[in-house]
Amino acid sequence: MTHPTQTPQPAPAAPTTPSAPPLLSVRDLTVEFAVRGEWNAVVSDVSFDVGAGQVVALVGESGSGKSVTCFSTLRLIDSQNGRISSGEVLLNGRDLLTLSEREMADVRGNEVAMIFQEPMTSLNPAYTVGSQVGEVVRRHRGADRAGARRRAAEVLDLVGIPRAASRLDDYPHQFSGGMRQRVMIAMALATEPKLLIADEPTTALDVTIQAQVLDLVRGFARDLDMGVLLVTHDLGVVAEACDDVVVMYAGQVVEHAELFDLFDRPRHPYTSGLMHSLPRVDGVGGMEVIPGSPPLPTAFPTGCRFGPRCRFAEAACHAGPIPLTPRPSGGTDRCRRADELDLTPAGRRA
Amino acid sequence: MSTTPAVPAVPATPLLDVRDLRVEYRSRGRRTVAAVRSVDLQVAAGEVVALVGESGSGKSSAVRGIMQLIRPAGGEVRFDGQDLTTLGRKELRRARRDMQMVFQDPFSSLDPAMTVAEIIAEPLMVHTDQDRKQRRASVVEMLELVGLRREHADRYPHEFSGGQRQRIAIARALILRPRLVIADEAVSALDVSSQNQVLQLLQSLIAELGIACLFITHDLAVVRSIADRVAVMYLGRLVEQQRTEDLFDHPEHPYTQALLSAALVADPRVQRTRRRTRLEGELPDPANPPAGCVFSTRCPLAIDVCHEVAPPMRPVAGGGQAACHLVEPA
Repeated sequence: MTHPTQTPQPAPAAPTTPSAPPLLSVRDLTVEFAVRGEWNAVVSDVSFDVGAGQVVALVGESGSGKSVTCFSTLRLIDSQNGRISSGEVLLNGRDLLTLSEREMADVRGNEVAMIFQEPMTSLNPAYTVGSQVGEVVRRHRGADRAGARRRAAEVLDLVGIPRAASRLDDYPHQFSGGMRQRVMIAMALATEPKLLIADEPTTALDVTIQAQVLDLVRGFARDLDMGVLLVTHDLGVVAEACDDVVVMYAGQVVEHAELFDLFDRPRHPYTSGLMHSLPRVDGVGGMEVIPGSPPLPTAFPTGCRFGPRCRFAEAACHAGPIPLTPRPSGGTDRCRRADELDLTPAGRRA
Repeated sequence: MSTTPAVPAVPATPLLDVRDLRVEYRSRGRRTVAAVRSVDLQVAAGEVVALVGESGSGKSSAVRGIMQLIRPAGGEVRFDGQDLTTLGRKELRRARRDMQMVFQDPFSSLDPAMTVAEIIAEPLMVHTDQDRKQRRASVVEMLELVGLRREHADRYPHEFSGGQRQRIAIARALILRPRLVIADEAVSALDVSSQNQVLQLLQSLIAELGIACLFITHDLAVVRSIADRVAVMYLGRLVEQQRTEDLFDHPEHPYTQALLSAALVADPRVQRTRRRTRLEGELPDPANPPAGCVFSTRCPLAIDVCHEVAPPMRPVAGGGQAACHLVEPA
């Protein structure tokens, strides 16, 4: 039944650097794709951590490398055209890049689960929802048929599917978009993974349903101490659901900070441009336009990759690669003028 | 409201005047599904009206009914006084000269086998007797107007990014200087940085050329920046319409309130202190709508009468209208 509720105030944001070794630690990840026989790095030296119970946003536009990064952490890239050329993906200290395919298959769906943007294409239309969720449980938990069915009903109930037990024999098309996304989440959570990778999980959903799904993801991170890597282009989703933010542009991390710090004191002009370019429902912003469009991996600039679109760029910005440097308040940014520019939003200045 | 509104809540002499529009689909010849039920909507000359709704609200079906891409099951669609529902194919083609569309997906709405110049000039071929040279000049002028270059004219759509393709679609829609543009989720499929570029372009062009716009979207933030007036649809019906400012300042219908509160603000200090009306459940099956108010199954405020009697649209303070038993009529 329907009832109005008020969003509880979140606990203070999680620390940017958890004291225990992080659940997931991606170190200097470089991924290349072949275009007409030429290998191009579409992701260069990407590093970030996801702690247990922490929701980390990987933010960027299409072509930024955010999806390639998240697929690469599970080694789900097409080996014909793509290769992870360097780096480490440490899950609880174990480098996933050195595992055999067989060991990797065990990790996927067991320790790490993934949900995708389009729930209709990720579910098999020919099998019932109960059998698909149950299959995951049987495969990874070795449960018998009856046990798997019980567990399927349990997790479907957990993600808020009404009368879950009675819907096990329904097919995906009998569920709405929002309910299918819940089924996907149920499948991902059935084995109680330590890490959930969610690629644009709410982009295809209506706003009123998006809120419900984000609540679910956040709730599971908190209650099950599950780490979440949430890939999104939507800063509204970031503001609502995440603790830490990694901003990607043209295959690189351009800024990485704790949520509130990033929004209070963006230090990279691209981050600040993103924040101000879209109109907001509270009537703030929307007046700034980032000119031009992002470069293709075959034509990344040799200097600052955002340089050609940056209104603060000067000659030295185009001279050579810009290193990632520590932010004074924690985190990192990749702008050689970060100290002298004041990109603090007008409403935040003291 | 004490101030004199710049935009009347309902225009006196609308350019587009939709009355009691009904759009139905027949599924496998048996059941009839009413996607749009009794929608009244007006757009004045030069005005930008946003039609807002989530999936299944019927907003796209309403557009199809207005454009006569599907013949309405009932109601009138008057454009400049002429009822489009009564026109034959030939007359309709003439009327469409003044009402053009921009679609959501710039990847499927442009013919991949045509050059940009051919795409943009197509309306000129259909509706004018301009010769080749005149058409070329018009195309070049349009290209520059939408921020593309004349050398783009002889390229093909696949050579362009999503944002650039949407500029091409806008050039095609505006080349005849129509009086009304219907933009159906025109920026929804675009990336963050091109979305705002295209939005600002569309906004400045329609203002400059004095073109009215019916802007269909699910995105309330976009609405706030572009529309003079907003109409909100839910399950085939209009539940509220108000001037943009009024709607955002005091949404009257519980669905509008929920929709506004569910929209995410890209600022954690604002977002995490916003009050949220959380909606449970999902949109009912349009083939089997609830009795009474369409929103009653999810409404946090519903009382007995809401499940029995469909509330009519009634005037509210500020000059708009809302269809809710609990809203104080003006």
